[in-house]
Amino acid sequence: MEQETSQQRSMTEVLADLGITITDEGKARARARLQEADARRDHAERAAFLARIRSRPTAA
Amino acid sequence: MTDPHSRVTGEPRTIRLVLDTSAALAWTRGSLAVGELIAEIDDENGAVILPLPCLIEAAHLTGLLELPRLDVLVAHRAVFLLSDDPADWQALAALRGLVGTADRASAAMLALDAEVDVLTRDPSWYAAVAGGKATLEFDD
Repeated sequence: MEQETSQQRSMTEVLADLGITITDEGKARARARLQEADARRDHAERAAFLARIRSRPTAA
Repeated sequence: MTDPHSRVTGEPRTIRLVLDTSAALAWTRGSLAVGELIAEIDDENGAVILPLPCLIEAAHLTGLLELPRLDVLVAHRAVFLLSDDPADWQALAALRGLVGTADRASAAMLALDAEVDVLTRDPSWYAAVAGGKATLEFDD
């Protein structure tokens, strides 16, 4: 029988072992925050900043 | 950035966040907000990046007393411990000037590279990075 390692277990289960209960409501809250972050992300601005700092670091 | 692959199944995982030192510290304190985000990302078959300098700083700031808890984080399938690309050293030096510390510079660089946000307690640390819009704040 294989032993299930923490690497193979869900983060929810791992946190439960640590005494932290993650609820469906909590995950829904987290999912909404991630979706909001995705929606507001300006990929063009980030790419320009990254290109600038890589090509001319002192001018970034 | 190429998505990391699960160390268990070999399936690709999409990077969703970069944890900075404050997020790693919050993990050691049992932050519900940080736990919920990582749990949700794990459920979505996603991944978070933990920059090596942030792990080292979190271990140091906790007096090496939270190594077991940090090890649980690092060992999880949804967490990828990454180092800086040596080729980026000049850009990292410039970022260090903008964000104040080397560990934050690593977090910012990895987030920009992966096109995700830095999960942090204090977004003002990253105000000079990409218009100050490269962070996701937690507050517990």
